[in-house]
Order: sequence, then structure tokens, then C-alpha cells
Amino acid sequence: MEKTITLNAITEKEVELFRKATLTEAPEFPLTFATRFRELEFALLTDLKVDIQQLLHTDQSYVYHAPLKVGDVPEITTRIKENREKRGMQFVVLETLVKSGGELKITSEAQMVIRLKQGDSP
Amino acid sequence: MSWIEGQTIKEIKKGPLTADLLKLYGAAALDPNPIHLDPEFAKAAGYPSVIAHGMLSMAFLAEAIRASFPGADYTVEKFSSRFRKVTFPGDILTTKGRIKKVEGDILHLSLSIENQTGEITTQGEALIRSTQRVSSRA
Repeated sequence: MEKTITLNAITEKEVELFRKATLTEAPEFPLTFATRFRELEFALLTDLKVDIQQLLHTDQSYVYHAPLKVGDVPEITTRIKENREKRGMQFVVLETLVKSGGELKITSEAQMVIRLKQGDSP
Repeated sequence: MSWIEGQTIKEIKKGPLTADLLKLYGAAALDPNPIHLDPEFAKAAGYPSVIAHGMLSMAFLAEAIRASFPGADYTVEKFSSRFRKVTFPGDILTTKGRIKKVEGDILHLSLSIENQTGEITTQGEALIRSTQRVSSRA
């Protein structure tokens, strides 16, 4: 399963709000700003019918291929890279590619763990 | 500056976290999960209160990276975090970091966050490239 969306251009105001909310005054473009581009992750998790109350984001990684900056127009592609069950837990790994102007900027990988109730199955 | 293996980086202390900060972060990060915002929802999930976003902790680690490796001299190539323990409003979080390995211009960083009781809540790693023109290497 894979979904793609093009978002609005990144604004200085969004970056400033992100700095304020993460209690930082570091002048660099925030390393975790791509967390704003997770809407397709939420859409894919909804498609999988996971119980969001039992969901925890356990791991996150970013590979930075090129600098993301104000004015970039993020093109987001998210796919389910893994979806497996082990000992009453469901593990879902979501991979997101962030491009702008066709150039790959960031590869993001998020692992979610969902506690399964008896009778649930992924 | 040149870095050696085992060297520690500057610590950053944040907190106590507040429910208002989590609301602000949720808006800034476009995270709609009510487990960070709605106490009743969080209680139904088995937590004593709303829980902080793991990604907020990762942002604190990002600041710790930048405090020692400013963008003018360093490029961050990879950055990862594992959220080991949930954090809550009231928690005070302190970042820790050390140089795990030096390979030419590449630095491998080992990172963590401790809460006010010394528990490790987050672990992380980063791969950083020095872009400084002056090299201390012979």
C-alpha cells in the first residue's frame, strides 16, 4: 500500500511555530520538521484499522539527502514497509519519501507498535 | 574543533513539560493523536495522564546535536531515535550525547534522554559530517 500527496509550500511561519513548540532557538532548519508530513502515515494506519488508543510510535529515523528549506513544496509518498504480528503486538513500519521539485530530500522511517486485544488480528 | 571518540557533547535540559506545551507541539507538528491532548482518552488507554510526543523528545535531541554541531560547520546525514519510555507533563528531560566513532570527516554520535529520576526515556544515534575547511588531521 502506498499513497502520495503534494503539500503547500513550507512557510517561515510554520518553521517559527515549530521552533517555539520544540523550545529551541537553533537557527538551522529543524531536523525533525518532516514530522509535519505524517498525514499519509495516519491514513495508512486508518486503512489498517489499527486501534489508535493502543498505538505507540516507538522508533523514528531520518536520512537527509538534501537540505529542506522554506519555500520547498513537499511531495510526500508513504508506504507500509512492514506489517507483522508477534506475541500480541502488531509492528507497522512506514516509510516516507519527502521530495521537492522532484529532488529527494528526506527518507523517513517510523515504527508503530499496537497492543492487540484478544481476538484482534492485523 | 576536532572530536575524539568517547568525548561527550553539551547537555540540554528541558521541562518540566506541560500539557499546554503538548498542545502547542501537536499544532506545530500536525499530530492529531488525542493521546497527547485528551486526558480521558489517555486514561482509557491505561496512562495516568496525557503522554508527551516521542517526536518532541527527538526534537530535544536535535537541539543537542545543533548545540555542538552547528549547521555552518556540520551536516547531519542520519538521525534516529527509539522511544523507550513514555514521558508525561511534569517530566524534566536531559539530553546526553557522546562521540561513538570518528571516521575521517564523519562522526557517529550516541544520544539519549534521561528523565528526572535518571531513567533513559529515549535513545538515539546520528551520523554527522564535518564540513569545516580546516582539518585538524595530519
